[in-house]
Amino acid sequence: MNRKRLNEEEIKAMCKRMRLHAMDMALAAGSRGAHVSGSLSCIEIYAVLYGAILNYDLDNLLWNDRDRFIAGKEHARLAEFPARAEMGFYPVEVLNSFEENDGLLVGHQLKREIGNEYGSMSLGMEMSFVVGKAIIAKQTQQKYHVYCLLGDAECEEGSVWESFISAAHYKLDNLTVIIDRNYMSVDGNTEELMAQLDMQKKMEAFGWESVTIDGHDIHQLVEALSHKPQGKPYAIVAKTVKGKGVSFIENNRSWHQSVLNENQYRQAVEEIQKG
Amino acid sequence: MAINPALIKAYAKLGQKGAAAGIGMMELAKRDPDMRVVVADSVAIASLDRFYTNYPDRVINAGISEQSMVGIAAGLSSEDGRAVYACTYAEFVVTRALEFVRHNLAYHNFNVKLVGNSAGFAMETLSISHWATEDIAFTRALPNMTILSAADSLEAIKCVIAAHEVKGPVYVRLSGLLNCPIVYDKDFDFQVGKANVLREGEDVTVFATGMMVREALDAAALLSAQGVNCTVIDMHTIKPMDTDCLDKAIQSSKLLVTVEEHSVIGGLGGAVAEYLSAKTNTPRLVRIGVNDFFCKLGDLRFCWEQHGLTAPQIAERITKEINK
Repeated sequence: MNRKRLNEEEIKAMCKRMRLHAMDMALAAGSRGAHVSGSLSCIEIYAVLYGAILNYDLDNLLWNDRDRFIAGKEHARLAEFPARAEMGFYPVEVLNSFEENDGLLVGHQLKREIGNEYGSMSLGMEMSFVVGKAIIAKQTQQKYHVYCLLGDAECEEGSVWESFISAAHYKLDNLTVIIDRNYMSVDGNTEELMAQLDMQKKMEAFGWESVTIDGHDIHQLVEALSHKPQGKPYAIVAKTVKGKGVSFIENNRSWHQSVLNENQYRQAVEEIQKG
Repeated sequence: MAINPALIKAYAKLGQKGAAAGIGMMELAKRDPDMRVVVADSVAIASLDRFYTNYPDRVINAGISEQSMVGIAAGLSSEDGRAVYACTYAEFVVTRALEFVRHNLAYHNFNVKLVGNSAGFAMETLSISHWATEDIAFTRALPNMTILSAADSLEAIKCVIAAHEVKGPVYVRLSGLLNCPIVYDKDFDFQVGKANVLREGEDVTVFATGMMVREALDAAALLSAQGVNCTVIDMHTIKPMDTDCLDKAIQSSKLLVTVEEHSVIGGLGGAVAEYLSAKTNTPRLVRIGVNDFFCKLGDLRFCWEQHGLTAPQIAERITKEINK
């Protein structure tokens, strides 16, 4: 298996580079704007998944035993694509083609050869797909594990909970879901708009094993993601800050999908490099 | 699979969904151990009891959650392209789950077969919420979809089996009640995309689908007594449309008629109208189907009558139109 395993220090350094890539991509997206803040909240989650947890083989990206990662909150591509570029799925330069017409990284496409196991985007679309994938993986005795990242506000979609019920019912202990708990949706704070309350308790009440961690703490992420559940699916509630790492973007709802100008770009890069 | 007149009568008793599940799906299970069936608390609703008893591990019940059912079906098929059948009421597998159908079947092209039963007014007094009268319109607008619609129980069996041979998404539309009237009283050739001419006459061509094929044949018999001769065609494939048979009818008939237990907007009639709109010097087209209003609630025939879908009403309408 051709794949680097990064230690925690290396992952921290990778996160910094990923944030810088994210700013480059946001700048390149120009007037179309990019989903900046929701990407910055899950940088560490993506870095730990691709840097330390997922099994994959860079010499054969379609290797049958690779772990299956399915992205929910799929607009967070400024975190997802840099993680794969950093780990060698494609050259970092490819990130410059983000959102180019008919490009490799445009829109939401199913492209297994670059690690896109599904194209969901419409919120709440991926959980049922993931449950189907995990069921057939068990029935056909596959070695791989199935991972899925969801947004906390995405869990306002009822279809997500339909599938949470099924995952527990079918005892899918080959499934780990990470919920990016950044407490924000497009219109603002989730607890003011549509309170999600204690998501760990909810998952446990639905028959899942669950844990709540600091989603920016590399060590906690590595530990939580290394755990393999027994007889139950597993949900990691990762508490994060939307826009993490750039002061004027953090917890600022106007940055859900926004245009980054040159001045803002320079300030963001400076803050990320210092941070 | 044995087909003879006695069995055809037995299949008819089971109704379209009973025959499709009890005979067609059982046959597929024998041929393809990888095939999976997803239901939404609809083992009984889709007449899959026998299938489930024989192959419990091949049936995944998503609970009463049709969106999840379609998503799970896509996930099950996503690794090796195995055929996965999602079976429940037509209204729910299509309309309730439509975005999941559009995304997973139409866009991602997963090898999922929707089997929608009790389409049209077959749910009778469960009424509007359970009637599927726009389902063809919804699925026909989606790229990559194949749409099959069975005229009787034997054809329902052939539809679910043919769906397995199509590599990609299919919507199989089943309708009617138990004791489904027989259209095909002996074995016949079923090819996806190739319509079946059941009766030939030089005046009018009637394109019918689903339960309306039997009604159209009976209407043609009534008309024949009045000296009006109809060709009646079973349009079991709504998409892709058999344009050869349309071209023939355009050249040879004075009047074209479509009959369906579905909205006159966007279904078989809509598809034929779209095709004709690009042609010159075509005969007039009369679209008979569910008109653009919700009718009064009641049993199957009561609903059909309000939309002019019984054989005598179809015959009367054709007589009126041909004399215009």
